[in-house]
Amino acid sequence: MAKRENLRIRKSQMKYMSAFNLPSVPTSTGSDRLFAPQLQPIAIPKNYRPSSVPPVPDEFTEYESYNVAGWDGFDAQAISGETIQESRNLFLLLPRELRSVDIAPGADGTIGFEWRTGSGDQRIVTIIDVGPGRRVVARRLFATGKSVQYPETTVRTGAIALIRQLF
Amino acid sequence: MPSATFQVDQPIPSDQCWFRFIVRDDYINKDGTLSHQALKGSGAFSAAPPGKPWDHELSGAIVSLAGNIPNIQIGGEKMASDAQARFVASHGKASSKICFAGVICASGRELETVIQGTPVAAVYTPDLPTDPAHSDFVTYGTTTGASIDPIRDWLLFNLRIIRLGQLAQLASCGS
Repeated sequence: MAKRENLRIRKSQMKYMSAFNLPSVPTSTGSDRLFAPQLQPIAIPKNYRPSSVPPVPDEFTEYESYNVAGWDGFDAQAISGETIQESRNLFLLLPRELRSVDIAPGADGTIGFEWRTGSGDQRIVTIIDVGPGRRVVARRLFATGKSVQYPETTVRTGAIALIRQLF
Repeated sequence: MPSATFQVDQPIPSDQCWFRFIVRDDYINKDGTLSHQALKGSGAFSAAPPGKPWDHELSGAIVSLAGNIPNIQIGGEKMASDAQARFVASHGKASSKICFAGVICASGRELETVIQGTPVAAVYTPDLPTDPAHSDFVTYGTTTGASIDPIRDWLLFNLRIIRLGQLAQLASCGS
């Protein structure tokens, strides 16, 4: 069965290589050896530098430079690269309908996510703060003065459960 | 003379409007509410100077003593400009987020209250001769940073936000 399957794959490869005029090289020395197309080197411009390709900017790009104290022009604590990365990871875990969240840095070295719902006495503010470090804490505030604090977690260990619990 | 109604270190008259500059655009949410991050850090609530009867203070000013609306706008732009200059000095480039975005405000009546057992008020704290309109929102009996959290939460629901383009609303304290 395996021999027949390899033969079928090889025929398919030969057809592909022929169609694109590609040479082939053996990938193993056995009787059932398969052939893979030989990849041609890509012409790289002499002035190419990998680091010259900027990452795609996102909500957190500006905050990457906040890794020194005083980033607010006053006396804010530094926000670590670890906190920025964990904030990105948390954002990626959010369902699409929650991604219109307000995001802002805090002078306590955190990145805050905030959602507001309701009106008047029914207003609710839901907050998730990431940082300092990998720490993730959530609170829900009610216009009536009541508040609920959720247990501290991390993006890796408990963020999905926390998001499900909050929303 | 409006200054006749103000007493140093005492709550401002109930009909007066207290305000504070917001100098980051991400501290005003997309729906025009105040971000919880705007009230964090020692810069937002600092320990009271020795000898004061309160424990923590949030710096601001009184509208009627700050001159007219254009003067208030100039003050906000200067604060943002100074913060931006410090950012440039430390980072070598400008921050895209630091700017004069607006003000938060409430009346003396609204701010003189008790929040979960903690008395609070806007008190007149002139910084003469440079800042005669200066006023602090203060908390009494807050011995730790964590004890200010309920106050911050309360402010999120009770301060009004006026964006830069609508500063004329300060004349009615945003109401």
